[in-house]
Amino acid sequence: MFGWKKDKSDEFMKLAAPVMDSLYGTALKLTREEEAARDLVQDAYLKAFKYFDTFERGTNFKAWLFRIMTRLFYDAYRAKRRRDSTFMPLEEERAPGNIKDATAGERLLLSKELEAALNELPPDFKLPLVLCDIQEFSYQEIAEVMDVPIGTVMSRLYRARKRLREIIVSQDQIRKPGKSYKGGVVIPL
Amino acid sequence: MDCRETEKLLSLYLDGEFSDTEKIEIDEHLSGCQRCQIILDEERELKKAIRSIRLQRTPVDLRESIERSISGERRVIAFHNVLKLAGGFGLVALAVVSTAFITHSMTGKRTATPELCVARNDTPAIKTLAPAESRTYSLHKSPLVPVALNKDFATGAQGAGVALKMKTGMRTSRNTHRVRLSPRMVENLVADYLRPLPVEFKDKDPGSAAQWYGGKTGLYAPPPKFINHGGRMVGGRMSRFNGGDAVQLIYSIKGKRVTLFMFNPKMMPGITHVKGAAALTARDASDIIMSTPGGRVVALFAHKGIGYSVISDQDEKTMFALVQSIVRQ
Repeated sequence: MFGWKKDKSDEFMKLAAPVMDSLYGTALKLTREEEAARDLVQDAYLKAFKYFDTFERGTNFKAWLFRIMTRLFYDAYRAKRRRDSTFMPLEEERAPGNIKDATAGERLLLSKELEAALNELPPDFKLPLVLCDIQEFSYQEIAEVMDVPIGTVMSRLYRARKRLREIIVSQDQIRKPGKSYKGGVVIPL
Repeated sequence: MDCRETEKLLSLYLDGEFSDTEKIEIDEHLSGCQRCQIILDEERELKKAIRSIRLQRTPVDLRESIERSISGERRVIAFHNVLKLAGGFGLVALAVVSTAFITHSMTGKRTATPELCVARNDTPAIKTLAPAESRTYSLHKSPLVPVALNKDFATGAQGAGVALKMKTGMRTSRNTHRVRLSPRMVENLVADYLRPLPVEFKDKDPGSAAQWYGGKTGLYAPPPKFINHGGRMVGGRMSRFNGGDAVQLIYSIKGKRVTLFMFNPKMMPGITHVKGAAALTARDASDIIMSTPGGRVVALFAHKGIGYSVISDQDEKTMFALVQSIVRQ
């Protein structure tokens, strides 16, 4: 009589368990706080399981789960932003940096610094970058996850990369050249 | 295609999101433009570098907690379905359990082990209760040592739905009182714990917190600090508990969130009153601490005229230590 319920949770976990690391890693990048990331992932899983019947079998489960998590994140983010006016806007506007300066010479970048630069990006820029470059989602999938048109994904990715380069350049100006570093990926820029 | 147009399309080009026509046009431009070629190389390096960022893996305890939650959720869903399908059957079954429990209490026989049983609604599953979900604890042994499942209750609970019962004072039926928590109430407690509700009070100083909620509720008892457990206060908000006002304080202990409700214990008739730390150690911890099917631990008790409910993913041993520190302060 209750066999189907066990089947349901088994089927859900079979699909959901392999995605957990990706989801948690992305949640941590978005929230930048372990506790908030844990809550976000847990809530996303519970919500996904609750609405598992609505998931169209055979379609992209990972994108579906990411979409649920993204919506939960934005709901909480917007609520937090309403409470705290000093909170970083979704698409923070800054004075554009000089891209020519960034390409003028070869710079060294450690992976830690890249991560720090990525963390500085507002969620609307950070999320498509993580989804595209780390999670290897297609533009169409990112559009579905973020619930925006594909053109918006393109422009956000373009602007995100541009912004990332600007942040790295500003970091680079602070750091003294010629200093030796242990570990990390050396990236010519 | 000029440099400006090409630059905008380089992201698409690297991500493989271009049409054949676009590719031909970009390739054509790149072959004759060193500047755009340099930008492309840089973009490629940046993409490669981002790809090399290793995302943190899911903590083991979170993974386990989610898996438990999913299986717990399954039972809750099953419970609602059972009620829908069986209609009044659930009430009848509940009456059977109540009768079984009253009969059990009325025997006047001293029960060696007061018990907290977490029983489940789905009748077939109750026979296969996992040990972790069907613990009872010995009264006079060290707290939180699992002993056998109370068979009488398990038998009586068949088909009864989720039922949590707490008993204190086991000598006779006269001094036995019990609190029957509805599944909905426990669900609500856990839901409040899980929901990322906004905090109204952000000061991390417990002294300031007391002033804040004291002015709103007239409750001037200082909140626990949990310093010995590595805890810190995250914030607080006004909440509702069992139909009355309550103070909800949120702590972070060992990287996990702990939610504490402080309320008027009159809202919860039959709540176990803990006199002091000494009484608490002699008392069966199961009077106040219970595990929920979702994997959370809920402690519910009163001390010095204040009701407390602590909810967390922490293990029961830690929760017991937290309760002790509340009682000791």
